[in-house]
Amino acid sequence: MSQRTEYRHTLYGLVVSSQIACPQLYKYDGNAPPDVIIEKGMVADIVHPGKYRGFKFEASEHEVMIKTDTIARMLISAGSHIFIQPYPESSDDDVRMLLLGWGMGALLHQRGILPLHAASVVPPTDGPCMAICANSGTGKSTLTAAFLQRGYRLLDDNLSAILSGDKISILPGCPELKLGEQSLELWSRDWIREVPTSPCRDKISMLLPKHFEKNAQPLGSVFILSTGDSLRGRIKTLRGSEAFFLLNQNIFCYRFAVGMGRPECHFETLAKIANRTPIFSIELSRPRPHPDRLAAMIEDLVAVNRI
Amino acid sequence: MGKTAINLDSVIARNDDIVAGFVDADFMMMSIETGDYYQSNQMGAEIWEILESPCTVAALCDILESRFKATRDVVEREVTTFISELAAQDIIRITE
Repeated sequence: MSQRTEYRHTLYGLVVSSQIACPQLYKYDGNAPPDVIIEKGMVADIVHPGKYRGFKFEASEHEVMIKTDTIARMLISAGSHIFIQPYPESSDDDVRMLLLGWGMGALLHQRGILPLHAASVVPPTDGPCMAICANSGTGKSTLTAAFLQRGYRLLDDNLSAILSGDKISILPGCPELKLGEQSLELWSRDWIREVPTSPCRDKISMLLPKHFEKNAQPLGSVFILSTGDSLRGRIKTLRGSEAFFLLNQNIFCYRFAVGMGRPECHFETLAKIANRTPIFSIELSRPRPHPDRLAAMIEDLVAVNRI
Repeated sequence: MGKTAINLDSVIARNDDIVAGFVDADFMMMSIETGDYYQSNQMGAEIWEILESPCTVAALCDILESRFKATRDVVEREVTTFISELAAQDIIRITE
């Protein structure tokens, strides 16, 4: 790596050495060699001929090249390197968002780690963690805040990295929660006022190292939220192919795995989760329940099902 | 969905680009080539298991006739229809 400032972090069980400052990531003070190196600099237009072309990316067997319109060009290679070339007009927040979003998503696919578009939290009883899948705008982060106020610990707010072995575990991600201004108004309790915040694009970024879970945790349950149109919400236990398909829809950046010709690498993990883990779909009522009430409802579900 | 014409002498085999497994009681198959998923029933699961080695449609019918205790003409009709659909989706291949 060229002679520049190096920032070292742990992220999804990996030691990361980065030339891009990401203050929200958990700092690493050890001496282990990095698993992932992030370099800032020129990224050639086509490093290797892309076999597959998709929305703002092309991919070959071991590489994904991402080119956005306004933020950066990025090459993710062999699960160990990310080369990023920010455009002159892009902001640091946008660059970090792209790097830690699509960039890490592609890298996790390359490493055979399943990234779910989900928040994940660990209960104060130290029981198995739960993953909360939802499209952007559904209220995933707001619900996560509700759980943190109940004493839960945060694994990640947006991308839950699933490691499949004898057990299925979620790896610790980033100790950051991003809430919209409207969501912040829901909370008037002290803990939220003590947390350092900063504006981040259209949201407020909250750094939560004291509420962060640093170790991988076994997965106990999955909740898939969706917005509904009815006054009445609906909860359904998912099984078999229905669970499988809904989980598949919540794979983060699945198109990268398809583009690299390796969609099957997550088939076994998805099947394992669908077979072993209680999975529920929750169609939210309109108007949406208060996140406190939703968190209480989910806790009841966990208790009733003895998860 | 288009159907590929087959007969009892057709030799059929698994497409090596398909991975498969049970999710609860559902038999799932996925194309490595396209990332598309398919769900099949118990007969699909049994056929996939039998096709670990390529065989003729007739041989396949022999095995399924004994497993499902159905009449031969019913088995042949159902199997040839089902195999044609699997072949149209490129889940299995007709080699001869």
